[in-house]
Amino acid sequence: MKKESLMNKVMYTVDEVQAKLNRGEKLILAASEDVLMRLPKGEWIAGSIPYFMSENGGEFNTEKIFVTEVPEEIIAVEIKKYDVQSISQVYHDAPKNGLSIIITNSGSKTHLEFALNAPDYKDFAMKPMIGWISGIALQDLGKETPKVFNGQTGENISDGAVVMHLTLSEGNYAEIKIINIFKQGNGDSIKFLEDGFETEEVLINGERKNLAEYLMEKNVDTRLPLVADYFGAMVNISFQKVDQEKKKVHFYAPVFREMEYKLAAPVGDYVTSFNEQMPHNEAEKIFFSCNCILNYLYSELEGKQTGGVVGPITFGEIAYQLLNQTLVYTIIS
Amino acid sequence: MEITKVSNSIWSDLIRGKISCRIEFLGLQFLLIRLKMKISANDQPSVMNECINELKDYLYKIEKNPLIQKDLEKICGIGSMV
Repeated sequence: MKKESLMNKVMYTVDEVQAKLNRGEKLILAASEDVLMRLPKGEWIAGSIPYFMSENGGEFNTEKIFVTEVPEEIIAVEIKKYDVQSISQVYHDAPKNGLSIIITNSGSKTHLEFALNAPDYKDFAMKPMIGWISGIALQDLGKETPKVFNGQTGENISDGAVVMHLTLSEGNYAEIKIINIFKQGNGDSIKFLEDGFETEEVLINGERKNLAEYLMEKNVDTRLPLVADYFGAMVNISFQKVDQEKKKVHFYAPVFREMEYKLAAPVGDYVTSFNEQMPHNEAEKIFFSCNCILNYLYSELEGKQTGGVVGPITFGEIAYQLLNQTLVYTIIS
Repeated sequence: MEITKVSNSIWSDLIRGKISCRIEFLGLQFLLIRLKMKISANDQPSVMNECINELKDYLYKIEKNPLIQKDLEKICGIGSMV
């Protein structure tokens, strides 16, 4: 099972994926729920999403399946389902030398639990984990529920996480990397009074203020995220909604009380910024990657290529922990 | 790498972000920020000791991983200069 090189075909029909599964291939899949429902049982996991960075560039596709094949460096595969109670074991369960691919549903209890508490899980960041938050077509928000699938059992799961724990052969290692085009701007320091996905009052340069009012006063472009500096790694918190009536701000990822955030500096063209950050020749070594629906939307990536990097467009990315507006990828070396 | 030779004051400064040392391994960056937040929330010597032990334990467990070697060399290099 050799991984196809980048810009080769990554979007497959149901029949083609069925044939792959019948040959015993182990697959990580992304597609619309209706399409995934038509697949036979097998060694696969999947999440629902109809947006992709494919061989054709950014595209919305409700017919085809984005396929990531498990590469030859993998010597063992274990598929495991987690729920809100068991997700805290996910790092502990991972192989000593391996890579875990995780998919959980947007807005599910499991997603929220993982987002808030993953850094406190046993063996956090000890073993490489990458993945994504499944979603739906934006026009179906509020009508449909994002799903994850355990292909081994045929389960279609509304609240949980499916994980493919991959054991690597000796001498091979998986590295998780991120590309975030956003950096902290030079503006005010923002600190939160509580951990969570929403807030009212915050400390702006140490002074208590309502964040919704502050954002309005400063006429902030909330397509730009808040950015925290994680020892050199820039981590975004994307704005979901600024409710001026209730004076409340909602986020796509949790903010943390002891962290200092700043509004991101404006960026020019996403594709140019992305290509500047992508290390030369690294794209062709990528085993798995995914990018954020907000980057897809705000940077109008439909029909555009991002340096040869392909993958599902997601409602959140996981590189050890939940991230927003970030491309995550993994290389096996 | 000589993790054992690095003094607790170096580990403490690393966790507090007082050492100018560009960490590149994403897992270590995420662990360090968690420990920094933990000490920010409760800056007690016992908490710092817990954080140092957790960091050292993490590094012992993954020190054979070639992807973290550069970071270990930087940290241990600072330790050996003191």
